[in-house]
Amino acid sequence: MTVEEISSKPLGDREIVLSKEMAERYFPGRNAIGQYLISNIDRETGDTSKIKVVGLVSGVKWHSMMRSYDLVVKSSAPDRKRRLNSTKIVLRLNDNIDRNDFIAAFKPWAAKNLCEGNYFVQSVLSYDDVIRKTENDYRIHSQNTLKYILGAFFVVNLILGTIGCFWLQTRRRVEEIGIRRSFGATRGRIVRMLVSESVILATAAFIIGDLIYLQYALKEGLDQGYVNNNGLNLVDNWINHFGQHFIIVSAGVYLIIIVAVITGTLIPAVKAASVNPVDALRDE
Amino acid sequence: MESNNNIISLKGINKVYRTKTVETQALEDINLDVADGEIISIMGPSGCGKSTLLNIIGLLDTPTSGTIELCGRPVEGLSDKQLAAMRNKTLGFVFQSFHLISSLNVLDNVMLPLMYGHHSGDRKALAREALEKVGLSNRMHHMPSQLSGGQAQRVAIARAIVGDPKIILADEPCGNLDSRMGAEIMNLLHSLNRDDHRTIVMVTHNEEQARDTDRILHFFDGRQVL
Ligand SMILES: Nc1ncnc2c1ncn2[C@@H]1O[C@H](COP(=O)(O)OP(=O)(O)O)[C@@H](O)[C@H]1O
Ligand SMILES: [Mg+2]
Repeated sequence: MTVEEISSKPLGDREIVLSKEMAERYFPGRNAIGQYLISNIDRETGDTSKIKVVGLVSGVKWHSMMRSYDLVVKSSAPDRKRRLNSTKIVLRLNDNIDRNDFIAAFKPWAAKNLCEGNYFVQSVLSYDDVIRKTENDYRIHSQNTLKYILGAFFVVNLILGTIGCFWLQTRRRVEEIGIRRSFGATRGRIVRMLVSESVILATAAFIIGDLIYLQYALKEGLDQGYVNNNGLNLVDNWINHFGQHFIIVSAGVYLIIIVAVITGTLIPAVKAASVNPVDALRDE
Repeated sequence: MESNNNIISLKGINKVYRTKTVETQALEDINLDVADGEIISIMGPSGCGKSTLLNIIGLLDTPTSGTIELCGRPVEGLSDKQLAAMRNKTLGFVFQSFHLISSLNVLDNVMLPLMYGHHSGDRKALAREALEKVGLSNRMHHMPSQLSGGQAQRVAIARAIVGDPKIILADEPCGNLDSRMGAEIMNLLHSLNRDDHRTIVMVTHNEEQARDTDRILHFFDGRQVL
C-alpha cells in the first residue's frame, strides 16, 4: 500500500494497516490481508474486539543501524485532551520538486504564515537530516566509524600475522620443499600446496569461530529480538531473518578471511618454492 | 653410433660458484658418457665436486657451460615444468642423509614421486611393490623417526624406484651407515642394476664398494683425474 492509497481510502473503525515485517511475524508465511487480530481489552466496553488487517506498508527506519520500525496505521478520532507540546507534521513532496529548494523557500514562508496562537514552526528538516540528527544523537555515526577502523585494523593484522607465521613455517620446511622438487614437483605445485594448506587451516579456524559466534548469537537472543515490558515483540535492533542473516554474514567474513590469508601466504610461498633444491638438501 | 647407447652424456661441463669475494671452479671440463644399464662410482676427496656433478646430472643445478643429454634428449632450455617432469620420470635420487619427509609415514614418503606425474596403476599398490623390493613392506605405516638408518635408506631407495626411472643417482648412500648396513644398501643397488636394468651413478668413499661397480671415476679438485 502506498501513502496515497491509505489517505484516499479511510480506514474503518476496526481496520488496520500493518508493516510487512510485523505482518510476517503475526501471520508467518500467509497473506496477512483479510486476517484478524484480537485487540486488548477496551477500557470502556470491557471487551476485546477483532481487528481486520486491510493493507500492508513498508517499515520505516529513522537511523541506519536499526531494522525497519513496526508500523500500525489505524483510524482514530482526534484526541482533544492531548496537549500539543510538540507536534510534527510530515510533508511529502512531488518527485519533481527539489527538497533543498523547497526547504529554503518554505522556511521563511512558514515562519511568517504558519502560526496560530502559541503555535509556530520551530524547525524544518528533510528526512535525511532527521536520520543524520538521530545518528548523531545516538552516536551511531561515530560508533560505525569506530567499527570500520577496528575492522580494517583486524584485516591488516590478519594479513601481517599470516605472513609472519607462514614465513617461519615455510622456513622450517625448506628440506621438504627441496625433496618434493627433486622428485618432480614444479614450483607452481609447491606454491599451490602451501597456499591450500593455509586455506584449509583458515577454514577450520573460521568454522570454529563461526560456531562460537552462533552460540553467542542464539544465547543473546539475536534471532529473537527485543521484547518490551508488555511482552510485545518490538524487535528493535536485531534481525528478522536470522538464518539468512547468519549465512550471508558468515559467507562475507569467510571471503574476507580467505582473501587475507591467500594474500599473506602467496609471497612467502613463492619465495619458498624458488629455493634451489640443492641448497635445501645440502648434506653437510 | 655409440651415443644411441648412452643414457647420460655430458660434454665440456664447467661449474663455477661465484660469491662477492671468491670464485670456486667446482667442475672443470667434465666429459662423461654412461651407457644404459651401467653402474658406475665416483670417488675423490671432499670438496672435489662429486655432489655438484650429481646435481647437474640430476637437473637440480645448471652448469655454467657445457651440454647435458639424458636418454638422448638435450636438456638445455627446458622450462621448470619440463625439468620437473624429467626428474619425475627418468631420475631417482638417493641422498646421504636419506631426506625422508618426517611428517609423512613410510608409505606416503614412497608414494611422493607418484603425486607429481602421470603414472599408470594404483599409487598405493606401486608403493607397496617398491617397499617389498627393499624388504620393508612390514614398515609401511611407521614414521621415518621410527626407522633405523639402514631402514630409512631402504625407504629412500623405494621412493627412488617407485616411478620406474631409468637412472638412479646416489650421493654417498652409505655415508651415514655402518659397514654392515652399507653392504646391504650396496646389494640392493646392485640388484636394481642387474635385475631391473637401471643405470646407477653413485658417489662413494669406500674402495671396496667402488671396485664392485662397472667403472670408477676419480675426481680431484673439479677435474676427472682417472
Ligand atoms: N652453493 C655453493 N656456493 C659456493 N660454493 C659451493 C657451493 N656448492 C658447492 N660449492 C663448492 O664447490 C666445491 C664442490 O663441492 P661438492 O660438489 O659439494 O663437493 P663433494 O661433494 O665432492 O664433497 C666445493 O669447494 C664447495 O665448497
Ligand atoms: Mg658431496
